[in-house]
This record gives sequence, structure tokens and C-alpha cells, in this order.
Amino acid sequence: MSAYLSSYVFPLLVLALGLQYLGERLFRSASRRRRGILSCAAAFFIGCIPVDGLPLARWPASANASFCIPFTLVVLNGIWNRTFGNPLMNGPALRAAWIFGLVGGGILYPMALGWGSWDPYVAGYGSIWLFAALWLVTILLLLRKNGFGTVLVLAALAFDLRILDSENAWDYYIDPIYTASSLAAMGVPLVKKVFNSARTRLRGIPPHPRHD
Amino acid sequence: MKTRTAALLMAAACLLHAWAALRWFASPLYSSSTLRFAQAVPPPESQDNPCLVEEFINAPSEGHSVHAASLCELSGGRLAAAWYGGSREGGRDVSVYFAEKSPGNDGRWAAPRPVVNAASASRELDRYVKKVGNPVIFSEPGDQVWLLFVTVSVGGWSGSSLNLKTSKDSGKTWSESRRLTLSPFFNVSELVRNRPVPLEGGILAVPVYHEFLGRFPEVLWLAPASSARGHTYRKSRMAGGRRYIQPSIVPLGPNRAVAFYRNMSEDRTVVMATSNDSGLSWSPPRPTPLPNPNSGLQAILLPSQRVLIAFNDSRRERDNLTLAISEDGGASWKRIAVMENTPGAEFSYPYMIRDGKGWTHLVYTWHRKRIKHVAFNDSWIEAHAGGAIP
Repeated sequence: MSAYLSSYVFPLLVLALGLQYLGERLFRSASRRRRGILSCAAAFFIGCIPVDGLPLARWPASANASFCIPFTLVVLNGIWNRTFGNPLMNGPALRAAWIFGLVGGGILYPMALGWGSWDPYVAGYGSIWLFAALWLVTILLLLRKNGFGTVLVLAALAFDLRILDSENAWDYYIDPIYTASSLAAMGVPLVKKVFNSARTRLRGIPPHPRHD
Repeated sequence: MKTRTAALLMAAACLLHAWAALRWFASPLYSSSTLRFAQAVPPPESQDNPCLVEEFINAPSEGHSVHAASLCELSGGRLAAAWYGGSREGGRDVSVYFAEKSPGNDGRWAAPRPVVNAASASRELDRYVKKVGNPVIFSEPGDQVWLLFVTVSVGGWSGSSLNLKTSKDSGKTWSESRRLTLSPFFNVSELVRNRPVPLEGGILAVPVYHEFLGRFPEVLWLAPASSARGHTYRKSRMAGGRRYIQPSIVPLGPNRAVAFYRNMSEDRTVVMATSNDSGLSWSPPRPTPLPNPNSGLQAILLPSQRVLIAFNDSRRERDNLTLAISEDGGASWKRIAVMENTPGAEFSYPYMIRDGKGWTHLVYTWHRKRIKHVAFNDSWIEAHAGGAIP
């Protein structure tokens, strides 16, 4: 797959996920499989609509060179789960994905954007420590039979094939939207938990009831 | 996940990472031992008389603003220049222009022609491009010419991305633009301004800089095309922080170099750093005695290892352009000539090269309306260095 074609994948998947979410609220009687397939088809057609000379799904590429493989697969997992009812990535795999996005982004962005004189992004063009670290994380996850290990293998394959518009390994594993999403996915439940526990302790107000 | 599946995936992970590592090791950009500056300081021509030639590259045009010129020598002693021009800096109508000059001091600059603008870059890159700017042109032996320029899709100059075009016929025709991915954060804030430095093996060290949350100088390493995908590249950082941009790199030996930075801080001095490993790592920046009004500058190496710098000799204004010489690699300087000095005017973004005959060529922005070209020989430098101005 060329870098040009791969730039369409993430925007189309996000569009499909959004349409699927919308479909769940507007067409409750339709089967989830039908909603999923129709959402993907609609996303494809909407994404191909030219706006100012560029297909709609190509516009995000103007603002971001490439979307990383793990987050693309997390979004694909969301679509798959909503369509077929069984996730590609289970709970531990998703948790590992969020931790990876948060830790990776936490290491990369502050220093790459100028904090200090060392730039970890440079390692993505060729560095034994980055290669070793990625390999080690992948192997450890696979030893624990964590599905996110498979995602990292696919990211390594994508990097070897250079399917994104980047020569840098970091871009295949981390992107700013992934890191922001990881921060939200890890941070929001944590904030809720702390808030609820503080409410309980300080005011004697019972925590929000669980619905599951 | 079954044990057998996990084992197969682990084997795949080992193979894929090993392949990635092998590719990295095989790249000429990876090993510091293969990086050596190409020594290309043309010897002075036998010149008895000091000589300086001045001319404008472009004709004045009402309501047309020009800036950020760069220059290179083509085969047969011809010169080529590139700059950007339009209704205003950052305007949507801005184009990158290219002009060629026939050999010799009596040669003339041909009429400039646009090479790329926002619309054509948008077409070639399949992306929305709002504006173009800062072209840097450089040549390789033969007729190969490179053009690096920035495009902005969102925001101001801090939203810039770097792009590359090449020409195999001295700029008559150009390849489609290729975007380089140099920043992990939406690939923005990578800009170019100063002259690339050739290394052995056809590698180029291009001084670039980042200008977003941090403002710092970097080196973009470009290797010749080794595959259909095009040129390979990587980058390395020269300094961190929020102060220094637009590095000008001067190689002093096969592995030694000095760099001078534009200073955006209140110190208002030209800052320098040194490298002993062909530019892979740099010393912490330290001030020089030269002032800098937060403006571009450029330095080159002369025969006898002296460094010549073109800079705005002021802490506040860009209304003069001065040349100075250093005999100790940039630590101390002797001003040798004031090229321009008109209060309230702008003379900025100097760019210098040495041609194959040992002449020094300087181009710069003149009143934001024209690009001025000044050529002088080493006798002229010697004559002025002898009676240096205070």
C-alpha cells in the first residue's frame, strides 16, 4: 500500500466509527451488523467527496503527515466490536494500547518539541536503543499473550514496508492524537475515581451508582 | 492468544526488528565514521586587482515583495538563484522564483520564473497548502539541482513543513514536490534558510530549524536517492531551548565545523557552536562579539581558513549589512566592509557561496523589493581586510 493510499485509512475509519455511533442512536431497530457495514460504505463515499480539489478523507493529511498504526487499529477495533460484537482487542490489550500511547507520547513530545538538548525523535531515523526497546516491549507483551503485542508486530511490519509518509519509526508507533486519546482514556476514569472517593470521604455522599 | 500463535508472532517480531536494524546500519546516514565534510574551498584565482560587481537579480515591481534569496553555482560557471515573492510575506499569491545567470561577471540574470506556488504545491503534494516560502537552492556536480522550500497549511511560519524538489537539467524542469517528515507533532515547524554543506559520498548537511514551542537549530542529513522512494534523510539537533534558529554551518576540516545562530533572545548577539564529529553533535552555544537584531546571517570559509560572515551590524535594526572576518574560527572578528547602510531601510537574509573560480557571491533582500547580487574576489577582501573598518 502506498503512503498516499494509507493516508486515507485512518480518516475513513474515524468517519465510519462516527457514523456507526450516530446510526446506533438514529436507527436502533437495524441490526448492528447492517449498521456497521452501511456506516463503512457511507464513510467511504463521504470520504471520497472532493472538497476544494481534495477528497475529504485526504484533508487530515494536510495537517498531519501520518497516523500511527496502533491508534488506527484501536479505531478499527471499535468499528469491529460495534459491528460484530466481539472485539479484536480485549480489555488488557486496549489497556496496554493506552499505556503505550501515554508513555510513548510522554517520552517523545516534550523533548522533541525543545525541552532539553536531546531529541528522542532523532532515534526514530535509526537508533539501536529504540529498536531494542520496541522489540523488548513487543516480546514482553507476546509472552504475556497480550493482543497489543500483535499490534506492535503490525506496526513494525508497516515501518519495514514504509507504508506511511515518514522515514521515522516513531511515526509508526505514536501520533499526537493517539497520545491525547490515551491521556483521556487513562485520565478520565482516574479523575472520576479520585473525585468519587473524595466525595465519599469528605462529605459522606455516596459514589455514583454502578450500572453494570 | 494460543502459545503457538504467540511464538510465531515473536519470531515475526524478531525478524521485522532485525530487518529494520539492518536497514539502519546499512544507511550511509547512520554511521558517524562515514560522515566527513567534503573539502571544497576553491582556491583564489590569480587576482591582482580588487574587484566587486553589484547588480539586481529581479526588476522592481509595484506592490511586489521579495525575500529570502539563496544561490548556487551550476555547471559551466553559471549561477542560479531562488527566492520568494508576492504581494506580501506569507501571502497566498507568493511564488518561489528561480533565475539563472550566464557565466562571468559580464553575464546577465535571465528573467525570473516561478517554480512553485501554493496552488502547484497543493497539487503536487495532494494536500492543502496555504503559502510557500524560504527556498534554499543548491547543486551537485553535473546538472542536478535541489530546491528545499517550506509550505504552510495551517497557521503562520511555525506551521511550516519542509519540501524537496529536484532538477536534473539545471532548473529547466523540476520533479514533483516531496514532503519530508521531520517533526513528530503534526510534522510542523521545520524551516530552512541557510546554505547546505556537502559531505563525502554525496551526503548533504542542511542547516534547518524548529520554531514552535521550542526554537532551536537542527541539521537535516540528506542522502542521494537509493530507491524509487527517493532521497533518504534524518535529522539531528544542534541545541535545545527557545532562542537560536537559522544556523549557518562552516566546515573547518574533515570533521570540524563552526556554526553561527540567529539569536531570538534579548541578548542580541550572534551565537556560535562548534562540532568535532562532522556536525553530529555541537557544543553549547556561546556568544560572539557581533550583534544580532534577531535576523538572518551567513558565514563561509575562505582560503587560509578564515571565516567571512555577512550580518546586520546592529542590535535593533536590519538597516545595514556588514562583512566581517575571523581568523580564529569565529571567536573574534574584524569588520571589513559595510555593504549597505540606509537608516529605516531593510537589508536582510544574506546568503553567500564561493564559486569554482574563487569568487565570493552574496545575495540579500534589498528594501524587500529586490534581490541584490554582489560578487567580489579575494583581492577585494584582502584590500578591505588590510584597512578594516572599526
